Amino acid sequence: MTTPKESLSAPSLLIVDDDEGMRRTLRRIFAAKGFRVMVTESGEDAVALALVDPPSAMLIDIKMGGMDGIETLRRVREHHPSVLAVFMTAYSTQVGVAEGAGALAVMHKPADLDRLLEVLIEAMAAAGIRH
Amino acid sequence: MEAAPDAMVVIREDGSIFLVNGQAERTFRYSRDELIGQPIEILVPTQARVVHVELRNRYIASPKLRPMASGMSLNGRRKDGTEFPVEVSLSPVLIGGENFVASAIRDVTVQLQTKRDQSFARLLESSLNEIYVFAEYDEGFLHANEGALRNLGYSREELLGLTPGQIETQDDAAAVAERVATLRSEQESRLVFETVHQRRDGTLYPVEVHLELSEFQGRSAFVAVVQDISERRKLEQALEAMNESLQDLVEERTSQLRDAQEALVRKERLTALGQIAGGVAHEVRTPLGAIQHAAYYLRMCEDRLDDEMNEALKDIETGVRTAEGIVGELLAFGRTTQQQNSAFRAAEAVDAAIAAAMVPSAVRVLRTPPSVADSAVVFGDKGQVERILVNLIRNAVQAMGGEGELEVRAAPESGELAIYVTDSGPGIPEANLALVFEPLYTSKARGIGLGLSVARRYAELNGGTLTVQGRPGPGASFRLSLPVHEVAREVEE
Repeated sequence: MTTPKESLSAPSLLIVDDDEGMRRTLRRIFAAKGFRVMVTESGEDAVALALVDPPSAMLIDIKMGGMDGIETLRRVREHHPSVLAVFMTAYSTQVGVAEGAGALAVMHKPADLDRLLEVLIEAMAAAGIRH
Repeated sequence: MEAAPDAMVVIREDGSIFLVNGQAERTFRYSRDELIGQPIEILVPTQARVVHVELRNRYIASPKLRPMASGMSLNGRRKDGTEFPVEVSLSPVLIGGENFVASAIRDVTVQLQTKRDQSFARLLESSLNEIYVFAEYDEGFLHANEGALRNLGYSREELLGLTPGQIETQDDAAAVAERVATLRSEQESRLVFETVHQRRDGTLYPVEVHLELSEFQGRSAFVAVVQDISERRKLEQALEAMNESLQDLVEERTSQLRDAQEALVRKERLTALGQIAGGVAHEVRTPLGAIQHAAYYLRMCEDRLDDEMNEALKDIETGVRTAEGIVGELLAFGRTTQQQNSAFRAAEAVDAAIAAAMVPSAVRVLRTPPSVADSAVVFGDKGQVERILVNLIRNAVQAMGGEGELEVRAAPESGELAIYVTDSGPGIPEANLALVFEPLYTSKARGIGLGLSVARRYAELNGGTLTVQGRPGPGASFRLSLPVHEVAREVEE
């Protein structure tokens, strides 16, 4: 397979997760799939980063120390209402809570990555974002 | 006066004895010299003496011939202090111009005794109890009443030829001797005991005996008043039986309470275990996710992996899937989600579960749903019901070592739907039947033994039961029962 180089024209994905292992492994996969990947370890950092470099899509862990994922998405959307988002959680009880928060999907950890990619790419295509 | 059959005592008006006859000497056992000049009260019981002086003075004031104190029982007093019943008649006498009172005193001991014996005998005869009179246990009866003859079945002649020992066949000699000794020594005036009497026809019946040492026809004799207590015994036995059944009931209730308490303790333990399980599962999920993602990335780059690397990656992927299964099991066990109840066709849940359980091809799945059962509509959380069935099917597949025959059979049974999951594996040893639903019980090398525990909990949450069927021979069979949806049932009927 080919490994697309990150470029400014590539769709950007902001991964927000307080677990370093998750950030590293997800970044590697999405980078290999041709995304321009940014990562932050907190909701606060994500809101700040999105102000200066708004992403096409976000992959957000719901339960984090400090600002949670749902609040993070709400804050980012104040400036970038069209940002696509997928929530991830290890807690099935949070699935219901997050479902009304405007994300494309709420995925269990460990996530079904094939489906995650499919959801993101379809949504980007629908939004006219070139991948 | 010497010839008179009665004791004659003549007194002066001051009450002193003037004259006595020989019969008076014999009756009162004083000599003539001892009596002459003494007040008449010497012959009167001490407690009656004061009254006697008063009565005597009144008589002397208006003397006439009459029996003394008619209607009252009078006693005389002998020299030795003993008393005896008497009848006295009085008459005024004039001797040499002086007034005297002559009293004729008759000892009526024998007459009284006879009278008493007669009334006693009448009493004995009229009693419904058995009454026996005997001098010794090994001597013939002196008397027995109608009640005794009736109950024992002997004629009077036959019974009077028998001894008490021949009626009380069950009593040993020592007990009898002790009774006799107790009464003879006057330690007790009356003994009450229970024993057994034997009828003429050999049958036995329980009796209560009131035994006294008394007098009969002038001699010392035992009087036994005997009551047939067969009826009382029957009542006592009935009461005892009632007591026992009451005790059984108490024991049963106690055991129910104990079971309820054990169930409560078990539930608390399960809750604690569930919390730990859920906590651990969540913590494990994140690093497990990282491993899975790393493996996913490597799979993306598989054209750069050699065969050995590829094998290693497969091992990682297999391990992650197993770990995910365990995490899922732990989460299901620890989960306390809200029930999402709805009415659904049982057949749908069975189909979904068979698909989700990913039964290996070496296992032949037999679905035997009679059409009625297949269309049965149950009410509950469909996801949980599927999970129950998935766990049962997976358990069955593992028990069979991944090959054999698996039967899923649904049958309506007394208002509920029963679903049997039966495998062709080695079966469950009798001793382990009670353990299979215990969390952490497992006979497998892999797995943590929560599958059946979760399944049972879900069954209960959905108003059903999950039991394991004890049966001889190989193969294990689990029975899930679910309440049939009321509305659906009404429509069917």
